Order: sequence, then C-alpha cells, then structure tokens
Amino acid sequence: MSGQPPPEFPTHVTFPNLPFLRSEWKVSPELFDAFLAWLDPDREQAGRKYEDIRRRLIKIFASRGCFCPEDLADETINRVIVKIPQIRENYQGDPSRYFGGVARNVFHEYARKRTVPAYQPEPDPPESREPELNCLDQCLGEIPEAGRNIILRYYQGAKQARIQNRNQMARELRTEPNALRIKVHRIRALLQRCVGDCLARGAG
Amino acid sequence: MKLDAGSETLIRRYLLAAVTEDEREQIETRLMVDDDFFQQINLVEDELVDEYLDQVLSPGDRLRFEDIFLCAPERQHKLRFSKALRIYATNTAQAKASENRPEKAAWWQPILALLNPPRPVLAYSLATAVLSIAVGGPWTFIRISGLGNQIAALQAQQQNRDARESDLRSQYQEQRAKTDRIAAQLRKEKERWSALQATGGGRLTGARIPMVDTLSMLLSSGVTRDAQASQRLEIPKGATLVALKLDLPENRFKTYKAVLLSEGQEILSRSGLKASDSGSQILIRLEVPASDLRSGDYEIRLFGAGQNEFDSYVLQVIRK
Repeated sequence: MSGQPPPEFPTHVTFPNLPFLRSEWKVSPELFDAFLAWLDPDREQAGRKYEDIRRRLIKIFASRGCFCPEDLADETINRVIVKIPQIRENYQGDPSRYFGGVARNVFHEYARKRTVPAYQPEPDPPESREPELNCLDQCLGEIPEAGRNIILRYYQGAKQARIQNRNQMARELRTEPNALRIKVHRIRALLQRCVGDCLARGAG
Repeated sequence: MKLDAGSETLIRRYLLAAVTEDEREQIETRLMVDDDFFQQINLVEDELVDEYLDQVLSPGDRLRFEDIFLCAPERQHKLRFSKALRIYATNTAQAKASENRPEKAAWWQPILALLNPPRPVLAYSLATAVLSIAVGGPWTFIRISGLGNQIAALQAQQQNRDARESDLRSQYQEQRAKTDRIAAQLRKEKERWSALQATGGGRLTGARIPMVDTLSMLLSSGVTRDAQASQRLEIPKGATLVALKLDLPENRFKTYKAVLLSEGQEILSRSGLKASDSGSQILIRLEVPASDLRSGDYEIRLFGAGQNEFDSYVLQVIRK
C-alpha cells in the first residue's frame, strides 16, 4: 500500500454481474472528497483506509459465499458515500464499523436475487500451470534468499513429514511455530500478489 | 500480528459458513476494526486451502469449502496459487536431493559391510546365526516334507477304509432288506397254509385231502441250490395251478420273458409278462399248471424283453 497514490474519484461505476444493483447511486466528486475526509483528514491515509475497508468488505462478502464480492464491496462503499452528508453529522466512532451494517443490507438484496454458479473444479493439466510456475519463479527471485528458503522449505514434503519439517524449521530459526506461520503467511501473500500481477501482465 | 488461539476454531467455522447469524455479525464487526483479527482470518484461509489440497478436510467441511468458500474468484486464485507453490517447492526439493545423492553402491557392498561390522562380537553372532540357518534350514525342510508325505498317505488310507466301510454297510442293508422281505412272505404263506390245513385238519389222517386250487410261492433270484430250503414247494394232490412270484430288485423293462427249465430242458415259457410294483416289492407272476411240475429241481430264467441276460430262480418241487 505504501507509495500508492490516493484513489481517483470513480466517475462511473457499473456492476455488470449485478444488474439488480441501483445504478442511480451517482457519486459526485464533492461527495467522494467528503467521504475521504471523513475517513481521515490526511488524503493519503484516507486512501489507504479506503483500500483497507474495501479489502475487508470483500472478505465479508466472499465468506458469505458471494461470487462477485468485489462488486458488492464497491456497492457498499457507494451507498456510504452517498449518505455522507447525514453520516458525518450524526455518526461517532470508527468509520470502518459503519460499513458492516450497510454490507449486510447489500448482501440481503443480493441473496434474494442471486443465482450462484456452483464451483466446478477446473481441469488442471500440467501445461496449464506453466505460466503460474514461471511467474512464481520470477517472483521468488525478487524476494530475499532467506524468505525464499523459508517458504519453499515450509511447503516441502507430504502431510506428516511436512508437519515435522515445520517444527524442525521453527527450532532451527529459534522461533515459535505460530511466529513461523505468520512469517510464511506474509511471504505467501506477497508472492501471491506478485504472481497475480505477473499473470495479469501476461508475463508468465 | 498476534494470533488469538481461541478464535481460530471460530474463524474456521466462519470461513466455512458454519456459524450462527449472531456469530457472523460479531465476527464481521470485529473484522472491520481489528487488524490482527483480519490478518488471522487471512492466515486461516491459507491453511484451509492447504488442508483442502491435502484432502484432510472432513466430508462436510469439504462440501462447504467447495460450495461456499470457493465461490469467490479471489479464493479460486488462491487455490491455484497454492497448488503452484507446492509443485514448485516439491520440484526444488527433488532437484536438491538429486544433486546431493551419493554414488550408488554395488549390490554386494551392503553384504560385505554386514560381515565386517565394527564389533567382532556382533560378527560372530551373525555368523553363528547364518550358519544355524544354513545347516538347520534344509534339514528341517526335509524332515517336514517327509512328515507331510506320511500324513498324506495315512489320510489316503483312511479315506479308502471309510469308502469300503460305506460300501459294505450299503450291501449289508440291501441284503438284509431282501431277507426281511422273503421272511415276511414265508410267514404269510405258512400262515395261509396253516389256515388251509386247519379247515381240513380232521381229515389229515387218511381223511379227505382239501382241494387247494392255486398255490403261490415267492421266489428270489441268486439263491443257491444249497439254500433251497426256503424255495421248496410242496404241491398237494388236487392243486391245479402254481403261481410263482418272482421277486425283482428293480423293474428295468416293460415286459419280461420267463422260461421254466428242469434239468436244462425247457418245460414252458411265457412272454409279455409285466412287473407289478406294490411299493415294497416288485414281482412278476408266472402261473404254471401244477401238472407240469413233478418232484425235482427246477430253474426259472427271467429275461428282460429282447435281452439275452437273465435272472435265475431255483425251485425244488415235492409232489405229495
């Protein structure tokens, strides 16, 4: 997130996957600015909070089994933005909390009208993994060697052997198993973002 | 980031949509404001994906994972990424292992190493054990084989004895049944004869001899002349007809032919005879005029229709 510019004002928002969402939630530039100011007086910080709130809303909708959590998160934010004149006068407390209630309402509307496509395990021939493996190779090359060794060793072996290996790793690194879990999770999240960007560029 | 151990089970249930609505609201409210909690959810998500790939989720959890957890495209990407990471990690480990693998030892070297262990006591013990097995093994095998053969032979003998005994038992029962039939018939005839005598008993001593029209006699085949006592027919004066009932072990033919012989000479012959089956006996009735029978030995040969083989019945006739 650091180093990223504050979000641009979204001039037009559409939800092709969710035709039932109201398209009249037209957000003006003034309202958007007011929204950011409500999140944080510092526009850069506000931008980070905006992204952070969006990620959490996506998590909520994904955990409710929604197949388009990003669109639903954006709809939730739009509805909050539109109500900013009323909210900033009357609401007290962490702005993040306010989004939860709106998200629930959005979900109920979605749940009434959705048709959820069931997950179909996609065919996974070896050749289909090549772009991902290539991107992973590139991304692993971009992280420090220590981190690279940790994450690769963490996922080596099968089941019971892997568990023993991880306990051994924790002892060698003189750290608690939970701390190792957190470390690996952070490296993994970094790699996943990197691989996602790599695939989006078609660089794999 | 701090991990709240107590929350992990709840987070798992939340991610698999196995929570109540109240629990869900509490979690979502906390998720929006608590950074560590949000990160813990992400971590548990990763590990849930790993468990799915390891196929260690319970059937119910697996179903929820596929139906609910994997609805969001972001999580499907996470699944693909996890698979790729595992493959990459495994390939890396295999590449490293093949680099470090020592030269493959010759096949005899492990045996050589065994014979030259670091401790002599171990070597002597091993040598003794090997020698014992080498010497004792074949001898034991031969002995066991020999015993096995003996056992098989004894079992075969026993089986033969059992079969023979069964045969003999059957023959004995068959013969006994035949004898019983003959004895019963004889008793009947005697009773009948006694009854007949009783009706004319006052005239036995020079008195009028009762007129017996038909005499009947049961004959069995295979009775030797030496045992003819039970097949002796006394024909009184006045008897006109003798009905000889030939006992058959089984009724194999539609009709039969009977030939009466005396000293090898044919006295009479009858064809087209049919057997009668009363359930306990199969009989062919041969009627012979009493006048044809003199005192002496007779043979009846019974042929199946169109057959050359015959059953032989012997009879001793005494004319009174």
